[in-house]
Amino acid sequence: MVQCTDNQALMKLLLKAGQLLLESGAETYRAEDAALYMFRGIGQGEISIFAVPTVLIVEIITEDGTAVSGCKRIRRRAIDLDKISQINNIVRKVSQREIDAAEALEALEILDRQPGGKFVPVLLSTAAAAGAFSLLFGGKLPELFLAFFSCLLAQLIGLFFRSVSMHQFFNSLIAGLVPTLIMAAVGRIFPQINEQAVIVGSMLPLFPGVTMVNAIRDAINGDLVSGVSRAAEAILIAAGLGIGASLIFLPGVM
Amino acid sequence: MNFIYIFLVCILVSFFIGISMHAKPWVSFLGGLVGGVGYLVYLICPSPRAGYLLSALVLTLLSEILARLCKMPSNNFLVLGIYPLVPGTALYQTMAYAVQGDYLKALEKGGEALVCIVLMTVSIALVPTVFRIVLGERKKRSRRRLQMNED
Repeated sequence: MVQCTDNQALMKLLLKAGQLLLESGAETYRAEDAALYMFRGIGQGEISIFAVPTVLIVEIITEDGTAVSGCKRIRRRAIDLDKISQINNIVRKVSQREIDAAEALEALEILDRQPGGKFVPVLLSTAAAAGAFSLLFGGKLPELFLAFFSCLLAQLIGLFFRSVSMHQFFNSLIAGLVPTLIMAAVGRIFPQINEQAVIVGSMLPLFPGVTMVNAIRDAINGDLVSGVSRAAEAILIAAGLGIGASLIFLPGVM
Repeated sequence: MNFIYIFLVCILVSFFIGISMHAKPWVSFLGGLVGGVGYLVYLICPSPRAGYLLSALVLTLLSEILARLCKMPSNNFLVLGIYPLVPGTALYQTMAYAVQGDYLKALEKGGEALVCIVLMTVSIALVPTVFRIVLGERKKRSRRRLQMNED
């Protein structure tokens, strides 16, 4: 495999890979490393990369001194673990010169056009995780079903908010509020039900675990800006859950 | 018996979380095994603080090993495995007490949750670094630093 001499095409590839990684919830240093490894594999010259969770900037300086630079704004951020590992495979192949830039870009484009997983299984498995969580916190069968359905309901309501494009904060606010409201009603009729197991169980699947772990890893890798901004995101979402769940305890309401 | 039940529940938790994050079923299942082992370590430890530190240590170690075996980012396994350990009850009680005006109890629970998260952070940060040193992957990192702009 020959080295890629067309820096415009190479830039396109590096930006696409970084963009897809950041959009599917990878760590920031992984996006930087992806571009760097690919460039080391097939590029020539010098490269500078700067990535934060919302933007990616790459500059290539060739040996004759001309510079090619590109910048990508990252607008949507979701979590797609499978996409991350597939991009990782493509990046590894490029850095070991098994495929060239054009092939890699094509593979990334196909990956980008793929719909982000089927919708109903995601919804159901999040709710199923809520049920499993309620078992972990000492629940039995009734708690499992309550957590399952309150998480499902919270997500369906959250979908409406997502369709009017609001921040994830409101989504998590709802995810906290719905189970407490349900338990306030159900707990009156069946006082023997373990309320805490249901409420905590149906909240936790929406806990920002990926963001939290990424924040730690980014900060440890020296990407302080990314670490702090991701930590802020995680705290915002967790606070949304907590505030939603505790609204019902406001004195005067209950 | 109780341990087996909890182990299975942890596998279920991490498995369904994995599916909801678009991971492949076998990856989710491996993440579930990691989570189950991590939670068992947490249960065996005499104090909850030591439990959080050690279980996160085991979790991160297992996911680093699995990542190298499967040629996948270690985060995929780590994120799934860590979910059963999230101190959800403490976080929930913190907010519940705070809104009810019982600040002393809220601080107590909040401090507990914070210490747990900090201890897990230590493990998550420590293991990959040690792992890299052991495997001799240091060169890559230092070369990367030279070529890249700092934040």
